[in-house]
Amino acid sequence: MTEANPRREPKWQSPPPDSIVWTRWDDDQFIAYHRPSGITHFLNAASAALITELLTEPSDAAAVAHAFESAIGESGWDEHLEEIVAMLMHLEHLGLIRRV
Amino acid sequence: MTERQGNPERARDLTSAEFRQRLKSGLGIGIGPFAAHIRAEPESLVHPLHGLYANYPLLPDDSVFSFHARLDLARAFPRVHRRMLRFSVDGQEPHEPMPAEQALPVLEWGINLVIAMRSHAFLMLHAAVVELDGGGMLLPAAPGYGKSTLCAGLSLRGWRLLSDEFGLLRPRTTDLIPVPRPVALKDASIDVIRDFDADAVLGPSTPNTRKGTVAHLRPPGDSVALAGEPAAARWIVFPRWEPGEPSRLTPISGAEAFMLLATNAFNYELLGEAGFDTVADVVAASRCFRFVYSDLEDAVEQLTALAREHNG
Repeated sequence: MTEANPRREPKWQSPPPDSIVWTRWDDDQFIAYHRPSGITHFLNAASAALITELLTEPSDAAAVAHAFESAIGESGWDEHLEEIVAMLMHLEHLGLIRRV
Repeated sequence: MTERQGNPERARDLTSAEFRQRLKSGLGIGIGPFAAHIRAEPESLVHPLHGLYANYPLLPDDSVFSFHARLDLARAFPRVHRRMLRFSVDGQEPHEPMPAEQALPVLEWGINLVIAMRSHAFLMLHAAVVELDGGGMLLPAAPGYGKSTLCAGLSLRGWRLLSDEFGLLRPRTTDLIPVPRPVALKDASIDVIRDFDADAVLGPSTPNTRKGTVAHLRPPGDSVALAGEPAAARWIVFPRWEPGEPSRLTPISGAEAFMLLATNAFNYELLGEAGFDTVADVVAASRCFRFVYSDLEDAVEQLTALAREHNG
């Protein structure tokens, strides 16, 4: 007898660190060169933090919200799960993170 | 005609008859890092080319040339169609024949096209480049933004002209490689430069080209003589000519300059990570601005003041 399959939230993870080359400008602007695609991306600090720090382990949107709370010291990120999912899907579409 | 001791032979050392003969049989010219072999049939080219290229070094016939460009009169159906010209490079014709009366712009566009298509040993930015007191200024812009007019004005006020079209950088360096060429001026810019400096040497105006009326400014002799000396990148200024607007320099972030520069390059994506690294390095080495202007004299003064402020 199998257990009922609980609804699984999608998780995302950063690619290997050496697949992206970074430059940082004025503290909060980042430009990333994605080696596998050869495409250059202009990213804000939140997206850069996601890729370089918060998604080194597979995480779902709720875990990302929690990580943002911890990183910034502000609560309430769990009220913005839809925006976080949209950001994760956008980065996935760009090839900068992958769904696991 | 003899080569001067210690100096390369230059086009100005040839008589008009010698230049004509060399042009028709094949003339080697050093254009910055490129060794061009040019062979052109139209008689109408002889005098203007001799004037515009007066200061350029001539190369021996046995040189290793970067490219062989030819401009031949098209002979098909001479009584039916007007006279046309075929531009070819190393035997390939990159575009359809063009009207014979446009020989000079066709040749100049053709040489630019060859450089843009082949010079992938460099990161090639679509930019004018000038230098003052050792500091190099990149002026990247799309056609119609006034970069050629601006660099012509600067070159007529003591700045060294490195290029009106190509910002060349060897990958992972920040030295701007000169490729001084006759500055292509269009339409109203031609009279702007004539009025700006009565001593400016312009070739003939060619009307009704695909870019309007075109005339070429002869690059200053010093700029051609120093074509082997790079300039360290110090400023990146994105110009835009706006009628009636006062000259206005606005600092921009490195990230904005990076993206503007990368999207403006001829071969950024082709160079891959080397292109990324090079743009990052040149932006990091430079102060970056947007620059709106309408009055050329005022624009030249502002950019000169910017350079003096840094160097002073």
